[in-house]
Amino acid sequence: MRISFLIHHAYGIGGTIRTTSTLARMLAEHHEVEIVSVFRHRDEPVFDPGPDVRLRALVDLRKDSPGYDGDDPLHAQPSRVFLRSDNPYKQYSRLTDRRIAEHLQTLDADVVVGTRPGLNVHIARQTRPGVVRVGQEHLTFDVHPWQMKLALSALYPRLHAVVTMTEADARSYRNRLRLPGVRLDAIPNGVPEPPCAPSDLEAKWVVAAGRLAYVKRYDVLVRAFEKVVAERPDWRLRIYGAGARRDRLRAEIEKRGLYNNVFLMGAAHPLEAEWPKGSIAVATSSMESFGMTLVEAMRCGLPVVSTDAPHGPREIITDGVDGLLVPRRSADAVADGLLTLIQDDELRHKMGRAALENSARFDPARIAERYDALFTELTGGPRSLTGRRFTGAVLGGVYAAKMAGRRLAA
Amino acid sequence: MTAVERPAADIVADRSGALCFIVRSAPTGAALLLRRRGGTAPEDELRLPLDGNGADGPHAILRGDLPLAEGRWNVHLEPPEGKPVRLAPGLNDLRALVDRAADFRAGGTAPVRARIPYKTVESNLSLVSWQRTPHAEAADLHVTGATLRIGGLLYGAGLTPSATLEARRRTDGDVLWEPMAPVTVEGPRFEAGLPYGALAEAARRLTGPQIWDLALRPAPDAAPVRIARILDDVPLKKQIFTYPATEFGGGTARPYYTKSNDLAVRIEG
Repeated sequence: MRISFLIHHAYGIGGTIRTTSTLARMLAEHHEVEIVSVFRHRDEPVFDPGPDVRLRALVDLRKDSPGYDGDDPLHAQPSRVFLRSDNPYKQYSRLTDRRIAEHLQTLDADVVVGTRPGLNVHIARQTRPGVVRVGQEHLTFDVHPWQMKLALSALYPRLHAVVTMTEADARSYRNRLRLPGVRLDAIPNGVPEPPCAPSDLEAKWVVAAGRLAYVKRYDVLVRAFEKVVAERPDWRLRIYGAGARRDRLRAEIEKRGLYNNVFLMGAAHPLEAEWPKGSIAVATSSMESFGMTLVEAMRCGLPVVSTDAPHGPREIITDGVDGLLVPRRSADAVADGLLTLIQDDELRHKMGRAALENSARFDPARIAERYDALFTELTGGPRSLTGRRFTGAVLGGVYAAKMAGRRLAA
Repeated sequence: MTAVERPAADIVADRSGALCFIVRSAPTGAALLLRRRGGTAPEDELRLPLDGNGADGPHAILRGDLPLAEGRWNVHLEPPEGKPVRLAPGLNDLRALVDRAADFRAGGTAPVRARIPYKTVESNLSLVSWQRTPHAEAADLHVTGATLRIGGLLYGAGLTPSATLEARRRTDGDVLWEPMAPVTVEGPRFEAGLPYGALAEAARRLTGPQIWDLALRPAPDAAPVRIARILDDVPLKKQIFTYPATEFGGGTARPYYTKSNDLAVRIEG
């Protein structure tokens, strides 16, 4: 099968870029895979999809490049195809309209996968017949502006499949849009097994990670931790991430006299080395389309205390088994959850072990299997370039074996 | 998963403070070369041969008790032939360093050595190294009113009941430590309250912002020992371990950790 991803910019840093790179790399074990980036700002990608994935761009915005497209007069005119209600609209232009259209009309692939609504709309409108059109939703339908919902209701019926991160979001699409004949599947992001050993869950540290943005509600977390410290002053909290709320959080920590217990660590790359320094992970978001960091923490063996935010956490955490789900916006509930795992060593260890086991379902090999099965079905049966025929189960085994081989080789 | 293909080192620390460098792409016979920034003496260079045998691939161990001068050390890969190249940072598994203060036996006379690997702004691998005898490790700080309460542990020297907390104004030529507050002693533990007013008093003749370095003098006839916080995994405390500012007598005081993680107070008038 030939699979072509279409992405806003593959050369930057971000969740969608990272997860697309990982998925493409896995699929390339058995298929011909390319990532087509609308824009190119830099020479090399931060997240390299590996030598087997072809990576190219449609519009070159590297100022020092001979192929620089930024001065093209068409690039100064606003796009007529990309969704006005999708965030990066201003970066799109008549030039991107034309380049993306040319690309999609001459596409040499069996499946094309869009990675955001604005690009899914391009795919719905412009892809040549004979190519299976798949749109990924990395965010959440319910929080899109109404203008976008309207546009998607008109154009998504032209897709063959919409893939959401969560079952709940797939339900939203099913209930809110009329998409006859469009396959709706929830396939979460893959998170690789971390390269270091799981936490021993003995350090008296709680760890959180994510942008310091309002939606993460770290203000709630700081208030919750004040309550934790009142009972267990020997426990401390590290919050990894950078963002606009830093100064405000800093002031909140100082005001509450928590400066010996709560630390704003700044951004950390890679984060995999930071989770095992803690014994409990915590998330206080008011909204979470998926929740990659929860899975990352669990793959390091940490039980997670998370708010029951729509939609990701409850599809990642099994409450009371590998973590605790608590009501949103309640510092008391977060504190109680943390103290439950702090006070009960045995429970913490039990849930940590469960977190490690249960999070294996997010392994990129398993996620790639699910995409593989979906694409195979949509293209009308297993048919690979080499003529081999795989069933889903056999294929799954092959992905897993390849993953294991990679780890041994690494 | 970065695209830049230059050799990188993964590091695993253990509780003794030893660092194991793993350089998977190292050729046979290669060595790890550490160079102290700004150093020109022979001891400002350290070579550790990479041992190719082992499950993880070529690795070298920097023992926790190996002398390594205080400062910043750049880490290179030196191939058997050819020039050394700066190593890129890989995965630093420093979990064993997180609460290292608890692992140290206070009261001994061995130097306190700490090394923390980090990624430089240019994305190179470096280490920051401390080597102190004696060493005063700061624990929690509490700002109450116009007083800074400092607790900590002294390693490598005996504490006496007549220990004092001292401060030195950091300006050219000003090398005098001045006693600021008495110290409460309990075994190797110390605690002192620094009244910001005492700093202001000592500096009344001055204008503009001032920085005061803090030290503990364990006994009247002993040399002052800088108070620092080095026994964990955070190479640069300044932006992370931050403390509230206090208004007092017409100025503002704020404790902070310097670039080498020494404790200081900044006063702005």
